[in-house]
Amino acid sequence: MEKATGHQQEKVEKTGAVMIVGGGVGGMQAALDLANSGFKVYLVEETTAIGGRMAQLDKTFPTNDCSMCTISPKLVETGRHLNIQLMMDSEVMKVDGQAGNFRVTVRHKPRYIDISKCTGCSECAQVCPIITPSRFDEGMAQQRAAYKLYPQAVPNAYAIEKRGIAPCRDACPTGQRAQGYIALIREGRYEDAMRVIKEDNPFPGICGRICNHRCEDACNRNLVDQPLSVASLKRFVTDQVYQQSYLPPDPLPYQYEEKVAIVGAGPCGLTAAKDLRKQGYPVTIFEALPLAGGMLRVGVPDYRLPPLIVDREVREIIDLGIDLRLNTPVTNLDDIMNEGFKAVLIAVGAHEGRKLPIPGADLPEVLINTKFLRDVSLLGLGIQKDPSGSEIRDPKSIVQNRHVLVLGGGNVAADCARTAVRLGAAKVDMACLESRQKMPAHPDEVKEAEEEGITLYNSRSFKRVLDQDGHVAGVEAVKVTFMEFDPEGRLNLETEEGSEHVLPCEVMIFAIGQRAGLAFIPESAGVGITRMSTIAVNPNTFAATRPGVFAAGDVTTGTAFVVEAVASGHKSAASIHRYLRGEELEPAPQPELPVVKLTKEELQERVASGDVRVATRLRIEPRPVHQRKSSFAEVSPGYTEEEAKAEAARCLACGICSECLCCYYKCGLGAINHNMVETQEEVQVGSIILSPGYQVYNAHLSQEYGLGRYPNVLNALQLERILSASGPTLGHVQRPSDGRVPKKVAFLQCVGSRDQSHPYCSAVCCMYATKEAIIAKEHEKEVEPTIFFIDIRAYGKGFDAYYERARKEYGVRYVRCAISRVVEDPRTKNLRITYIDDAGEIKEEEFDLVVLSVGMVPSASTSELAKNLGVELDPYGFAKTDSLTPLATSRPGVYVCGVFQGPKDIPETVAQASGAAAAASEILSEVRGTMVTRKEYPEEREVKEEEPRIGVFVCRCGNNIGGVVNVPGVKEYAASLGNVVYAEENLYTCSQDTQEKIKKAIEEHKLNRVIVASCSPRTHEPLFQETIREAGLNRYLFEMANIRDQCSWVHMHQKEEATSKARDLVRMAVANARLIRPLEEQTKGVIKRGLVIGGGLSGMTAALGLAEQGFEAVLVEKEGELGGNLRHLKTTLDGKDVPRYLEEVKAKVTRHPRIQVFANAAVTDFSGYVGNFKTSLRVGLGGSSREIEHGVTIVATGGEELKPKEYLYGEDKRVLTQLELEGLLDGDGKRVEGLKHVLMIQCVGSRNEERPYCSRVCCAEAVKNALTIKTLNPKAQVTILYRDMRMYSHLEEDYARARKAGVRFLRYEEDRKPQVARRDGNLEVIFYNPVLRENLSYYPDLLVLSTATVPADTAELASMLKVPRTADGFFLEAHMKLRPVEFASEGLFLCGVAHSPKLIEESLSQASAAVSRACTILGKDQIQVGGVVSVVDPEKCAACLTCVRVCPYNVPVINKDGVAEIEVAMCQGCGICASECPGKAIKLQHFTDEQILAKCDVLLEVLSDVLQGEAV
Amino acid sequence: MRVSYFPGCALHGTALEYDESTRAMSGLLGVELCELPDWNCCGASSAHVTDESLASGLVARNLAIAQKQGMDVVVPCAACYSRFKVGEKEALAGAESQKLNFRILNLLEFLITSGLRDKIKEIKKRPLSGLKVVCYYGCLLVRPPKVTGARNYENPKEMDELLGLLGAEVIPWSYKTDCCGGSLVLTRTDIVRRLTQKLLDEALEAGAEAIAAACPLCQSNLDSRQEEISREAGKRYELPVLYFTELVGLSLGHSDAGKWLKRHFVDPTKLLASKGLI
Repeated sequence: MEKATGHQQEKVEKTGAVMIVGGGVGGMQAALDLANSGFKVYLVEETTAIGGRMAQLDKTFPTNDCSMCTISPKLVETGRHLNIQLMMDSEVMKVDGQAGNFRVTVRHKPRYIDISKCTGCSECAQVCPIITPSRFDEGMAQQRAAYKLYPQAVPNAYAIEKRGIAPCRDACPTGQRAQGYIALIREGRYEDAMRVIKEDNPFPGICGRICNHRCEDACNRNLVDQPLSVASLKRFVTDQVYQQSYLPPDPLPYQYEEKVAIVGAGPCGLTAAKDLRKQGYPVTIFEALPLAGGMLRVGVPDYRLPPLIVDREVREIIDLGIDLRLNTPVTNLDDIMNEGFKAVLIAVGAHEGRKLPIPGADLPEVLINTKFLRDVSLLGLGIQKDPSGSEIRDPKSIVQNRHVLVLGGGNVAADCARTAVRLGAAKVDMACLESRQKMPAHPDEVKEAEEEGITLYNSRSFKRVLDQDGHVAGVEAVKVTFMEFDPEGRLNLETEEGSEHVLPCEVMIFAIGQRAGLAFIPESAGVGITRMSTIAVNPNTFAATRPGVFAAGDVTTGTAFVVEAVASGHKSAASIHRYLRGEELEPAPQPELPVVKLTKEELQERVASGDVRVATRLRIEPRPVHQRKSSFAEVSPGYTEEEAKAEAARCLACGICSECLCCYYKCGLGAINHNMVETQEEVQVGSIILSPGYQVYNAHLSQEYGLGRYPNVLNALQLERILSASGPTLGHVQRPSDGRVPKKVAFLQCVGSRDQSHPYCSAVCCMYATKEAIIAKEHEKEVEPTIFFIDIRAYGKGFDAYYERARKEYGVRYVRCAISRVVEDPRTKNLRITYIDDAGEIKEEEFDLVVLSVGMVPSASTSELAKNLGVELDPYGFAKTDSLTPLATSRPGVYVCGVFQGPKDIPETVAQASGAAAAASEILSEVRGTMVTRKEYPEEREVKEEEPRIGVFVCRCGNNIGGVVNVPGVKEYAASLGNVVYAEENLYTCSQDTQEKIKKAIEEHKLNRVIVASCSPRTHEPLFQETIREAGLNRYLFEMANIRDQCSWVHMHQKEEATSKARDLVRMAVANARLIRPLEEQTKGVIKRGLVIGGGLSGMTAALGLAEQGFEAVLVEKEGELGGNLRHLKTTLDGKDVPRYLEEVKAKVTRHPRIQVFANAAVTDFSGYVGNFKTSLRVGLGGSSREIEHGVTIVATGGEELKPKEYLYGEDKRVLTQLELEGLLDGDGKRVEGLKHVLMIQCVGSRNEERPYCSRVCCAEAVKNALTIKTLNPKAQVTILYRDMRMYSHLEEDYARARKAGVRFLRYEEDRKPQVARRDGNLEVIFYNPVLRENLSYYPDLLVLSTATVPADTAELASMLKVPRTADGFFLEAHMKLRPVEFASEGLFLCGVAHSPKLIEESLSQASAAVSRACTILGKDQIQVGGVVSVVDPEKCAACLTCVRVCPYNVPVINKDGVAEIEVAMCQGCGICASECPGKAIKLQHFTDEQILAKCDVLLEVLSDVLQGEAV
Repeated sequence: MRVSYFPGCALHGTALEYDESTRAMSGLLGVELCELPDWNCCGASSAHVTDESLASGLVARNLAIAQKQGMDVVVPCAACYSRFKVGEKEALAGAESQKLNFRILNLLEFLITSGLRDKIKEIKKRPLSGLKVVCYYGCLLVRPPKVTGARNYENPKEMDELLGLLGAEVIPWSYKTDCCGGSLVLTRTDIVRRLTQKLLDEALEAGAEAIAAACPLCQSNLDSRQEEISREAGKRYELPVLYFTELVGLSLGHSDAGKWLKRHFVDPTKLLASKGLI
């Protein structure tokens, strides 16, 4: 129905879907409410799992329930809901459109693991070598880069944390995953490390020695101390692996026919050959030399690179099945093309050395670098002739005992010089153009050369070689003042005039660069050559100018390093593959990841936190010089294993994931995809709810407390993890410095709350500190907790009682003092705290552990989120809302809940979440049900008459079960059991394809019972039940045996016993399965009308909410007028006009066509069950009776301000309550003008023996009225006597405002209450002030009492509704944390002060929440009941009332036949009645005695067999 | 590199060795310290507690001189540094808001922001190996952060890192910025003794063999009071208190180091000799 409005409104096409941002407990609650009331939900969560902060907590206050246990069912329900689409790893980028129809752009970050394939088996994490601090454990433990956020995480899928590309990898032309293999070295997994290296580089032994390792220059560790010794670590891996004898690989199969020719068996050609061969091409290599390896084999001297290494790495490639033709110089390219090769790669390298064109360069003692080195190598192999066929002149004979000068400053020059030393030269010098700093040779190389006695002449240019009788006598040189190569490679040179001098020598070696020998490519070949004598290629594709011809390596670039040759080998091979397959030759763009550049600050923090230890690299000492000079043995001995592991441990793991691919190879499901990229998606929704939650204050910023500096200072969330049984210490309370149980533990409150930058109260810390103190003490008796606080803000339901229990029962010490700093005893690591005690004395006390009760700050991502959405924030980053519309943000159609709205605890978050769901769906009520999916099932097969035909599916769960339990054995065993007609084993029974297998097996083998032996029914039973239902079986014909959590995991090291236990469990499951029966669920209609009891703010809001959602509402008010307490309020703390608001709401309620109001009415009878209630009312002053039928009931009976019997109230008209004062301030401003002093007393009638609860609203009410007085009459003095100022959450700001306005706050003590008397006609208030430690007296004009809020008298109503109340007379909700607005009995809800005292905005949220919960019922046309419920056998029932008494839901009744009756629609299936019934008249379906006994019997039968066996 | 230099009265008097070692260190690092011509009292000792305008005026004059020189001003004395920084704030907030054309740097800031720390590491001659030292910054070098702009005002690390770089075993402790009683040095010596003794006790408990200081007043309190405290406490205190610049100078092998060390009440030579540093 269109709402009638005064102005023209554009009609918006609405969308019946809602987006929720944030998957914490609030987000989940809102999602479930909406999905269950007919809306499609998109739940956007930025992390890898839903659950939020609550999942991290250990216990919850004030019930000490396990947080994980309470949240877990919600996780599962949310994860499995048909109409909730989880968008993990996602963020909202942009929102267009308007309320009712938004277009939201969502960004999905890559997770690198396909959620739809992952079964959560954990094998990826088991093989992942990367260690990183665990976020979930707040850095208290470590996790792998492949991780699941926490064991119960939903979705049950792993994710890979990847920050970007490590700089080492980025710097490497071949993209070596150095971080990956380094991590594997640390773990001692050398074979894996080798695989990682070979992923990108077939020459690890070579590159580990002679690479110029740009990775080390780029290493972030440079910012801490020194870079990792990456090259040496790589060499170490090969040292380890090559110790084993060489096993030739199996030749690879051929995939393609096209033959590829490669000219040149150097690193480039070999790399390309390997890649192409692996693709499946026939590959032939033509090599001019008598051996393969190219420059590596004949250009690098043996002392740097032992030939054995080259030979092994070359052989590994050739043995893949490559046709290597040695001594086969290619003389003409066309010959090859004519042989039938479809593609040719020219990779002949640059083997031709060059001479400077200066006089004397042709003298016989002038040698050339490449030939010199090649001749040494070939002669070493006994080869006497060089490739051109001419006899080799022994270089040794030339240089021995001569003075040798090498011209050149590169690595090859150094190689020549150092080789000359080893050949016995008398003296060796090097001279080059470049200065020492600019020399291209690696500094280590230069250093070692100098150690070996080589003299360096830098910055020289050479004029001529001196000729003395046809022999070399030296070189004439000039000094260089400036040199530079321009981009074209031309040299710009300036020399010093008159600096000519002679460098004497007898032999000279030119080592000034090399070029390719391209004689075999005549011009007619159609292959273009550049001016620099290199082959012209497209740098992306390596294609030369002739089709089918490619070139790569030095022949295209001039001399470069091995890694470059390897890189171009890979790229050219890929290009050739694309060419031969007829694909686009240009490579496809790759996903771009950022290069991780760590900042100095970040690293300093990591050092400070102990995550990184400063330690310089482990140096390898080269062999002593005297040994080196006489031999070609390798100079560097390499790392020992111990050294390598220590060096590897220095790695900072910059990228987090290193893409080592261990997970990829391990995953049996193909779920890993490292090439995932970020994607964007546009989603259409009608409204949006923001619940992005919070993060704890970063207490590192409060340096005075020493978090991160002193090991025994923790933040509260870290302590939560320590207390958690699944946490880093498995729940043992230990202090980090020494693992000892801390005796004295101090909690410091308000860290990051109530301070200058966080002027709000974080609302939960007092209670969580109290809880942590209690739980720590429960875990370890000797713990003595002390809580240092400012005010204890135990304002919530049951909180004060909890606080009192902590003090009195657990002996938790509370000290009222804000602590300004913590200092550490350097020896014991204990911590000293200075405080002022009760007597005003300054005390210093030592503690074993200090816990910082850190406050809440909005999550880091929320400011961005708010900006993207156009939602206004307050100065601290919380969403801007006001007290009368607490759920609405500044943008219509966008709602908010949870801590993002302001600090709050779990129940308030949950209530607000439901409230936000109601608000979000209210504007979409007409499109309810338009976007939801309903599942259609095949008809159920009738199996009642059939013999049990059981199928058993035994799961390996990857290695989780299969690695411990003998799964094939268990499968065989299962097959041998009676009624089992089919058994199989699966790698992952929960994977998608296995579901199909199960369905097929059901059909093929006519199965009518299915057993899965795998993990926990808690997480997986619904999945398998769904599967068999899809196959036409009733979902109760399923049974599970937990052979993982309860078997393989706990008996990891007892494989045989575990297998035996698995057999027992399966046998028991089979025994049970024989007896299980299909259960029928009935459907019942739903009356789409709600009854709301109570016409105050909450009741009116609830009725209005139901009506706006499209349902009828009946509102029952006991008084003649609607409004309740709201009638007495005039304003709110944020200045809203309450009377006007009240009138508006009343008008809406009374005029609404779907709301029927009964004033002066009371409930007289109540019956029925969810969806079908019947209530009798007595209406009006006449008392006529009415009967209402309705589907839900909302109790909003409220409460009222206590009229006290103390402090002269009622005896002196100057003594008022706060509400009376508020009336006075509103009505007669003049009265205020004359006031000199108003004194207020807090906690009148609250927090005492009679009413041990905090009335919550009185502090705010007092502050509000005090501020009003100060505004009306700034001269009036206002004094508030309090016990704790409970100005929680944003109220703290009002508290500060009041102090600033001059309101005086003075504390009194519980056991020394103020005394009020009349003296000389004046009011006299005397009280003891514990700060001054003396009595003060005041003579106020007005004494205002902040009296308790007491619940309405609801005893009779509670007994009619059969719902419980607390000892204080408030109604008791189903669950303190997660079901705050509903009763345990279905269809009954509560809200407002009936639940507990609360402020207007809280009542509004709760009333909306009740509506939301109610809509999950009213939104359905019918509800399913039955299944696992208790049934009574009337024949056996003796009407003993046992069931009536024990049922926690008050379901059983004795019916008119005098026997117990259990309404199917109400039964929760807990089974308590069945187990208690003395006459065995009650049975719980699906869990019958027969079934349980059968399981026990088969277990014990075998046991007794065993015992008998032993006896024999 | 040239910078302006404001030694203040202490470095011309009681803390001569601070001045000398600072100049020596600068010389080795190739830094020319240009003392502000005709500088006057910074106003720290009594002016700022007795006459606000006098205090402002004193700093303002020094700042004006520095403005003329136009180079960063290095101020080794923590009290002078604090007054200079206050003066900078006042200049900025004044009626004719004046932005200074130079930075005011304490010595540690100077070494770090100018990159000289790396140079020190490079040219170090003798490592301070085995010397167990706690670094004491005092209060004025970092506080109040709104004046100094210090980020780690509860736990400054610059001196720790510097001496660590030179090989000293720098011991972490919690009292880096606790008060030594400096401003009560003449009026309430009883309080000064109590505060100083606490610092000495904590340093000893942490296992320090020496304290490195960066403020003339702190150094003189910690160094010169040990005898009285010993008498009062009935236990012998003999903990050398050195300016960090002296340790840097020692490590860089400056020939004058021996001269500075003689000016201390508690003789550090035995300790330094035992570590092979002199």
